[in-house]
Amino acid sequence: MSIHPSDPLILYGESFSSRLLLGTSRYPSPAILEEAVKVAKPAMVTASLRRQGANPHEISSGFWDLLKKYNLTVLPNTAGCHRPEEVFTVAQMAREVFETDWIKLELIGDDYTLQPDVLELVPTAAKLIKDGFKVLPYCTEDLVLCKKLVDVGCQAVMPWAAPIGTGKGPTNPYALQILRERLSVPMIVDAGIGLPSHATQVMEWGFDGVLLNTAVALAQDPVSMALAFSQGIQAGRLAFKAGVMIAHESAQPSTPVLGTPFWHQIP
Amino acid sequence: MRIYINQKVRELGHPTHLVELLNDIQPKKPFAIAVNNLFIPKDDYDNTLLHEEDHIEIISPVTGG
Repeated sequence: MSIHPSDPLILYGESFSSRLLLGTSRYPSPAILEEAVKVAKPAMVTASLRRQGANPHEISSGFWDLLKKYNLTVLPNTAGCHRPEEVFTVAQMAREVFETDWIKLELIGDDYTLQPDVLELVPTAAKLIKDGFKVLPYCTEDLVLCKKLVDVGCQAVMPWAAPIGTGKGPTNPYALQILRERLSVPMIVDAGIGLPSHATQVMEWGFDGVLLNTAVALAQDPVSMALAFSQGIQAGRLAFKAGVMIAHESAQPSTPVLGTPFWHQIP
Repeated sequence: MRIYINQKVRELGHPTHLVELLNDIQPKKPFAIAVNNLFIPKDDYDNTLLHEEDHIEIISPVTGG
């Protein structure tokens, strides 16, 4: 199942029928990852680069074959980079290996929270864009940071819901909703999503997509969870497009009152 | 001449271009190379001469989030 063709996700001028970006790490097996991808039909799958020989299981697991088999759009990341220089090198290596200009810019500023280095993020994004990359920056929900990223040429931003891998869901709903109101570029909530309802929630707020990994990979049944997220994201998008009702403080009967039997009948 | 490949020491008998080293060790494809933290495009393997104490990174695709 996919989003209605008239409502695609547009990133850097490219159209995607899904609004789910799926991480590929931490699955119980390559076969389960493959099934999850088949079921979820994500717009992109994320990938990374590591020293050859350091992860022999990864390299021999057929991950590369999976990417090719399904002709998946790959979003390489710069995970683990702490300095802009590392980001540039990894991004260039990723472009050559994956033959793509897409890059998920991760520049970590704190190892405990995996919070991005927001001071270095903007100039780093600017340099990557100047070098021809289509940059999707992993960032916080800070409005000014996101505005600056857009100012330097990012055509989409990816604010976190919560720290990577926590599954806490949106920890700062106010800031995320304000961010959505203030910026018109596509925004993908990346990291910290734990439940399909979290994904649905941010989509109802008007975010354009969700990037997640751990919530699917560490589910007891990752394939079913992948489908649940896919459908949850679609539900949230449809709800946003449909326009949600305004909440009221007082109860209002949904069944017509007029003609209610025995209404105001004197006993 | 001593160099490092993915942090492991390797002795080279004579000045060597990157392409010769790669022909020798045959990394599993696909891969990309950085020397001393700088990306070396494929087209430059032929004319990249390795030096004493160079650090060579050979990286491959892995799963990621």
